[in-house]
This record gives sequence, structure tokens and C-alpha cells, in this order.
Amino acid sequence: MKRELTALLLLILLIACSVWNLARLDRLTDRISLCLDRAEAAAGDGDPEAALKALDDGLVLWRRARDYTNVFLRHPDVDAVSDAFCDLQEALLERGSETYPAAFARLRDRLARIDYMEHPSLGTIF
Amino acid sequence: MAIVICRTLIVYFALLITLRLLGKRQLGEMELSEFVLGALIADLASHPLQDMGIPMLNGLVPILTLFCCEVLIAGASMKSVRLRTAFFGEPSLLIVHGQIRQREMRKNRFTLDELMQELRSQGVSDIGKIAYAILETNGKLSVIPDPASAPVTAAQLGLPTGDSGYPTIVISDGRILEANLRHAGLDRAWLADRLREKGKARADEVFLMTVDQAGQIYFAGKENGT
Repeated sequence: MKRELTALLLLILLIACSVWNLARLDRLTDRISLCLDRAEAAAGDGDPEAALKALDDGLVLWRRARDYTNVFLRHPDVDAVSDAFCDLQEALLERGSETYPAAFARLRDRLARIDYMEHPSLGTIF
Repeated sequence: MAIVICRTLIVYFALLITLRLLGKRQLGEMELSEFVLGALIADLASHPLQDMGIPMLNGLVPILTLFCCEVLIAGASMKSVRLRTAFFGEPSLLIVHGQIRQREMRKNRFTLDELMQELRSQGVSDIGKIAYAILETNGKLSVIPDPASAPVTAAQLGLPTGDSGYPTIVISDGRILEANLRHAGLDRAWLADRLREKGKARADEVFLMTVDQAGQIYFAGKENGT
């Protein structure tokens, strides 16, 4: 009976950890999305410095979560988000570049993808 | 992580149900859930080792989930006969009083050749002398001979029997197993005397020496050059 109870507790702990993981990932992607919103608005207003500053804030959040992301997420997905950050930075640094909306869209899409891939749904399970 | 747990549970139960429907023949000596666990764990453990892009956690979480499933199912089936039947099935009577039950054979996808092979491996050549042949839930065939054809026991003949007990290995490939020697209530002096009786000067000339609780000794010296 002790073994069964231990197994049950372990299973509950695993499920609790997965719920925590979802909440942690949601919080991380939401905070980065807010930074991206600010950066996109600043870039739209023709203020690339403010856009880069807001993007840096997002990048700092992403880099601080490196231990978490590398433990819980597939490494190619983590690398894809990091690459998308770099592409967007590059696009914003090239003043007058018209490629930044696409770079924003790519970064948002990659963030949305890792969020989607961690949430249980018919599409992600099967 | 949630996806990994969901997928593990789905694959585990899918395999359990599939193999349950396939019948007992595939199992060998394992119970169904043990077989499923064995099939899955070996593969799961290797993935994070082969692909560095997969977090270690993606290998560990399914293994822990499977461990929980196995322990919970084993525990629950100990308590409930109905659950045990659902997960592991029931033993099937393939032969009753010398009569082959063909419907049970078909149900278990057990061919006549396999039945004959199993019977021969158990030293049975005449189906008519079998009282029951039971296909157990782990895939093994148990054969109970007809009472008239069953071997005579010492008890039936009224012969006295002595229990010689479990044989303990005291020398294994030239090495004296001190713990076993002490456990058998013996010492090195006793061992030296026995070796002398067998014409051996040292333990490293002995390949195997066992002694049972009745003091009976089995002795095998080393072959030349080994």
C-alpha cells in the first residue's frame, strides 16, 4: 500500500509540475509579448531607439529564463526564439528597413508556437 | 511536460489494450503490464541520450509516469479481481480431461502445432492422459496430468523422505565464499579437511563446491588449464 501511495503522490506531483510549467511559460510569453507590443508601437511611431530598448527588455526576460527553457522546452524551439530575437534586432538596427514587421511577426509566431506546443490539446497530443 | 504525460498515458494504455487483445502468446514469462513497461522504457530512456536537443526531462517524465501507472495498476488489480481480469485476462483451459477445447484455442490464437510443442517440452506425448492444460495469463502453459497417469509420489508409496535443504556455494571458481561458509555454520578448518579428502591442496583447484543442510557435498575440481 505504501508503494501505491508513493506512486499516486508522484503522479500527482508530476501533474502539478506540468500545471506549474504551463503557468510559468504563459507568464514568460505574456511578459515578452508586452515588451514586443511596446517595441512594435515605438517602431511604428518612428522611434527605433525606444523600440530597441523595449526589445532588449524582452530579450533580457528570455535570457534570464534560459535554465527553465532548456530544461522544459525542446532546444530547437528555444534556439528558434533566440534567432528570431536577433533577426528582429537586426531589422530594427537597419533604420528605414521595411523588414521589421515581418521580423516581429516571426518572433511572435515562434513564441506562440512554444506556448501552443506545451498546452495539452488534440493537436499537440496527437 | 503536460503533453509528455498525456502522450505517455495514451501510449501506455494503447499498448496495454492492444497486447491484451492480441492474447497471451506474445508475453513469454512476463505479465502484460510488465511487458508493456519493458517495451516502452528501453526506448524512452535512449531518446534524450541520442538527441541532445531533447531535454532530459522528456525522457524522465514518461519513465516516472509509467512507473506510477504500473504500481497503481498492480496495486489496484491486487484489490479487485474484476480489474485484474480486465487488465491481465484469465487463465484459459485449453484441454479438459483429454479433450481439446477448440474455441479456447481459437480465442487465444493458439495453434495445434504450438500446443503440441508446449506439451512435448513438458514431456507429455499423449493428450488423452492430460486432465487440464491451462494457458496462464503470462503465456505459459501449465499441464496437470490425469491422476491415473501422474507420477507416483514418495508419499503415495509411504517412503520416508529427508529434506536436504538448500545447497550453499562455498567455493566458486577457486574463490572461497566466506559469508556462505559462515551461513552454513562451517569454517575454514572444515573446508580444509574436505579438500584434503578430495585430494586438493588449495581452494583455487576447485571449480564448484556446494554443501546442503544435510551435509551433502557436491564437488567439481577445475579442469587442467582453466
